[in-house]
Amino acid sequence: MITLKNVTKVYDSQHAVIDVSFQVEAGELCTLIGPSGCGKSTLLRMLNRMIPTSEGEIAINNQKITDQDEVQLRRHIGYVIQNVGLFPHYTVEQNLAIVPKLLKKERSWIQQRSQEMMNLVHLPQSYLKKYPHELSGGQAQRVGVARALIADPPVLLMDEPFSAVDPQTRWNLQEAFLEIQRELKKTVIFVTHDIEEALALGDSIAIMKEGKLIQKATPQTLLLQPETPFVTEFIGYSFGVNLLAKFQVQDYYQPIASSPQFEYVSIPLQANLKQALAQMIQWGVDTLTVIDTRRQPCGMITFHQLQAVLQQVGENG
Amino acid sequence: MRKFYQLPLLASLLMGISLFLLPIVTVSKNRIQAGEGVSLFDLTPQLAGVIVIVLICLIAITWLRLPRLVIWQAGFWLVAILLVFQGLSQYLHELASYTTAERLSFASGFWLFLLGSYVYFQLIPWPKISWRIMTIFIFVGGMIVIFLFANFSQLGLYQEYQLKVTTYGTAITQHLILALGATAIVIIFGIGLGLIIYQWPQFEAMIMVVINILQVIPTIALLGMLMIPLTFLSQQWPILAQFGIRGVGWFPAFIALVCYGLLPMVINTVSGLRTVANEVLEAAKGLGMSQRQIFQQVTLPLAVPVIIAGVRITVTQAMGNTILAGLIGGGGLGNLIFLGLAQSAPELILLGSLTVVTLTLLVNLVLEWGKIGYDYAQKRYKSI
Repeated sequence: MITLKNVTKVYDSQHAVIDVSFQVEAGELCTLIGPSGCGKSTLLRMLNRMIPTSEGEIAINNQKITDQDEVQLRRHIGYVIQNVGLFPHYTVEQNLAIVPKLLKKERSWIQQRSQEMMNLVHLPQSYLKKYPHELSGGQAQRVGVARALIADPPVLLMDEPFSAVDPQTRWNLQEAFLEIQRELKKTVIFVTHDIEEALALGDSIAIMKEGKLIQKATPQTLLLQPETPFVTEFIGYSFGVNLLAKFQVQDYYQPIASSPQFEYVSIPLQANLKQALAQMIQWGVDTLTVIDTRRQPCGMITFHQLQAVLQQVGENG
Repeated sequence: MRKFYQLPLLASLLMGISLFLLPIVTVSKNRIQAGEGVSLFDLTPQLAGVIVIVLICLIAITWLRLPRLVIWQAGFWLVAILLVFQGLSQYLHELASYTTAERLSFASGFWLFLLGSYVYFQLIPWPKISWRIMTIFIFVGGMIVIFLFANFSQLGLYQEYQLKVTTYGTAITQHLILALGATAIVIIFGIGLGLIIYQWPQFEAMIMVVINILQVIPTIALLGMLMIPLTFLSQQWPILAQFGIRGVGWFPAFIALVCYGLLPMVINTVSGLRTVANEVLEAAKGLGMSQRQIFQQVTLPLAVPVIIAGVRITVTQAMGNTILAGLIGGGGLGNLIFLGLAQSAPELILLGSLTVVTLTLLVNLVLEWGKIGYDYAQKRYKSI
């Protein structure tokens, strides 16, 4: 759990972060987003004391970060940055071993853990012996994530980690990271400037502007109860449709064993609601037949159900 | 790309033209008289024909530049250069058999042929590094055999060596001690100053101004400028003169060498430390390394290759500059060179300078091995 209370950062009388307070629950993935220069990276870097806080208090798991030695503090917080920052003179294995070595872990523990990490980020074991210059951008960032997670820190800070790679690689990294997060349930603050990424990854989204926190809430709340017009403007008009992508057809369809009024247009059970909506618009219908893996009809989903999903404020948050 | 490919052709043409059109050696009665040029065909009529054919083949296949013919390129190159040396060796034998007065000096054709050969060798597009090493191996082996059977008594260079045989070894030792000693001091001060600049950039302007000024003073002027205060010092405290701290001798030369070495050493140290990527330092800090750990485990290891490059520049420069110590009684190979200049004895100058060049190349080679060894040790040391 991360708690921020009235956090302020002043640089030479310029206010970079102004009176920010919010809380990220244990196991929650909070994306921090805002226009460039809004202070989101500054805020993140205050959490592991890369830069000192001017005013206010930050606590991680109810422990004030200023009560701990800053070097010790960072060893217990995972940290992933945009340009990865793998040590070029270390192999992948040695890069992974940095934090465990600082924590004086056993050699055999490090080796076993490195192998587990490679599995977690879907890289072959043979890559342990490679040097960073032999990796692609996406592979390097996977190693970066593995390096941050190897010592099993409860908290993970990520500063635009996937923004330096091409869109396809970014999408793969996001998928892989979501999978890891579902398994490990870390408390994560993830800085991004891409609203689609913020939505795809975040259990909650914190929007900042000019150093101030505008709103921190679940995507549905941002959509339906924006605190200022800026929120609506910032999340954009396709936010709701994109939000549908986070819900699966199989969780919302009406199972009907057999019905005479099946529509011709169908959607697979594993699809998400955004895809269902696309089908409805494309074919001009408001009801879709849901088909299972054997392509047999097993139920239906309607346009009103999609609307209802977006109206369930807070229930899924 | 096309222009680049013409370079090997030019080099092979240089090899041919210099051998066939220019005198290979000159033969003279004494060390001062200008000698008479001897062409390849006078030198060794038996081998000249073979060398002509080999070189024509070399030029032809270079012109065709077929990738499959690389092995032939290397082969013809080897045969040509070894035959030329064999011819020289035979000629020396012949000279020795009927005279003791004549002395043989290498002439323009020989030097240009060496230049062409060197350039050509560097441009051979080796498909595998092992071929290159193999060729060097055969070349060195062939040269050793030729040297073992050669009679150098009529070679000017050898005669000069004979005259200076007692001082030659001392000159080399003095030269190495001066150059390497100064380099050692430069490494200590240069890295020290580099670290100061890296840690406290506010001192950069001040330090660099002083070092830059030292660098732009002409070497001989610096020696002259040092002479005044050092002479004053040694007169004030004669005890200093006992240790060689005087206006002339090794000490001013040593000071000058240190002054000249500082710039490349400091610049390489600072740029080595500064080229370490920001994100790497950021990650190191973010992962929980202390300032000291970051410096020892990240910044310094990544800067070492650039620092070693600085050492190489410094050593090379110092080996050359040490020649000037000969001007002010500081010893070293400069003694031979300046004596040769005073006596108009080109062979003596050549003996001194060739020795300096060889020593510099050897020192560089040792540093190159040092760097390879460092890389290897890095990998071994870090493996967990």
